[in-house]
Amino acid sequence: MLNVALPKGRLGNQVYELLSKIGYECPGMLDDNRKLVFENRERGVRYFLVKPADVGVYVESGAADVGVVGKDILLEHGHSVYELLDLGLGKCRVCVASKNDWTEDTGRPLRVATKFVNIAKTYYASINREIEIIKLNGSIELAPLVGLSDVIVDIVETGSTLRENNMRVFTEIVPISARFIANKTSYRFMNETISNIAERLREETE
Amino acid sequence: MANYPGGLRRDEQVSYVLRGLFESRGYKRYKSNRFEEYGLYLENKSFLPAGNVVTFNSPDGRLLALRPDVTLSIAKNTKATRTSGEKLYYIEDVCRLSPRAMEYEEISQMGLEYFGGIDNFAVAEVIGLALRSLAEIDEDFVLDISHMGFMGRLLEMTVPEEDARAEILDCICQKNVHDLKKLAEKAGVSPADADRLGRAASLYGTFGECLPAAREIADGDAGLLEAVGELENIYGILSELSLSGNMRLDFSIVNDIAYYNNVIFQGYVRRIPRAVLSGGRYDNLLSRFGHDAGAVGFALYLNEISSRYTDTSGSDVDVFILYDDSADMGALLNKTDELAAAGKRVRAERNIPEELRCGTVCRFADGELKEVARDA
Repeated sequence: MLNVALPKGRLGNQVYELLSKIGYECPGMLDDNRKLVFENRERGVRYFLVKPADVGVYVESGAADVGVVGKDILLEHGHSVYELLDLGLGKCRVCVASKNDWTEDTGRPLRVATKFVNIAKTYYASINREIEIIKLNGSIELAPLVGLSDVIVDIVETGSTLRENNMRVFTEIVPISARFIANKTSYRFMNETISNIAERLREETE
Repeated sequence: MANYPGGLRRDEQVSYVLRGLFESRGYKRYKSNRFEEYGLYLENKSFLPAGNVVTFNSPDGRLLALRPDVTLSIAKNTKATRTSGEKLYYIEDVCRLSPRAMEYEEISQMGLEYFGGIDNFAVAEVIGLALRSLAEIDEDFVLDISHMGFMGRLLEMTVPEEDARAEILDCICQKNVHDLKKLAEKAGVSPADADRLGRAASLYGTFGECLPAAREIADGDAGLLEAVGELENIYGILSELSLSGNMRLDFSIVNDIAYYNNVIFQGYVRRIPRAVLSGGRYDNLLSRFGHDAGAVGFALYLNEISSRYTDTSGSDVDVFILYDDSADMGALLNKTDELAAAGKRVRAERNIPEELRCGTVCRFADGELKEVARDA
């Protein structure tokens, strides 16, 4: 039985449709209900619907053999997994953004609000800029507006939330998309199945 | 699998049997100090899986560390030369930072080190012991073999910028061919060379399947072909063992070139989600310590075994004896001895602890045991 961790929500649904197209369908997956585990014994597949940020944890710990997760989560948490395919779905960017009229005071540490603490630290370390991290869990855009931070480091998809709040992107740090990942032990013991899925998904997404 | 003394957990069973196995091949037990000069780890930081070390001051003011690794201490102190080998094994706890929990944890390790004139036979013999060690944990196992000379040389040949090599190496370790190709393009690597790197990173399978593909990736380069030849030679020696069917070739396994050269390997069993055995040839570490000798060895992570092979079935004791003030205590003591001598796990107390799982519950009265209900 192949255990697959998918992120709840639109990305998870898109990936499930791809997987069902290549023979891993599971009735009830797209129904609007509160079930978290879906199994199709005939096809030898079991899906877990988990919080997007937790997919890497499930796969690294072996609770799931494979999963789909945003590159932002992999960069932030550094999960020890194999990253077998860029699905090209859920494309967005991790960016530095602030108020439209913001100008940087380079004479003091930069106050950065973000939920991507490690990505922000790595980026600013790479340009040798001293920062003060303010860890937030949501509504990151609010931070510069109320003077909590100078800038934010956050995911930008279309930029409409920024525009509506008179903010804009100053720097793009890294492009993001959904990745197909595998547990290191599962990769070895289910190599044929997992390699085959990666190859079929590549064909479907190219 | 061997027969074990009763009551041992799987990790204890494994270490019990492996002691016998290692000693049968001439390895001597080495007991190292729990503390070591911090300088040893500071100078060899990248040899450690995680750089962080717990430090403290000794009464005479020296900065000491709680041992995060055993190999460094043993390698530093060996007296072996190329003509006078030394074979040692250890069972020790090491203190490391867990990357998952970001807390220090005590890890139980067992391993062996062979210092001396290391040749392909010596490497094959150590890999053979690694195969037998894995088989002792679980019959469902694989041992993945890589060669530092292969991936190191391929990277050096194809990626001119040293900075780019580290990032590309990360992609190789993650079998991440899509990002590898993007980075390679940025670093000015030709598409054909980027493709070779990608093929080497994703190569995985039996030696029979993968050796021809490795030769194709080598594309006539003498250094790469030499590494493939060594792998083939070692596999040829090991093919005498039936367990060699569990060997796989995987160039995505990479260690620090400053310490490791030649063959490296990692072992996996199906029930454990990460490598349970790790080892290889590390002549470079010995030359850093000024020793004129080669080295090969491996470590097994016993704590990974204990966490995945838990005994949740059965009972905590076979016989629980309830008694009260009227009991003849001397006769009761004899009775518990009798049962224990017959191989039973026995407890005699006035009350049964709430969480205790008991096989049989008896009451001791008039010098006799009478089976009763737990709540009697």
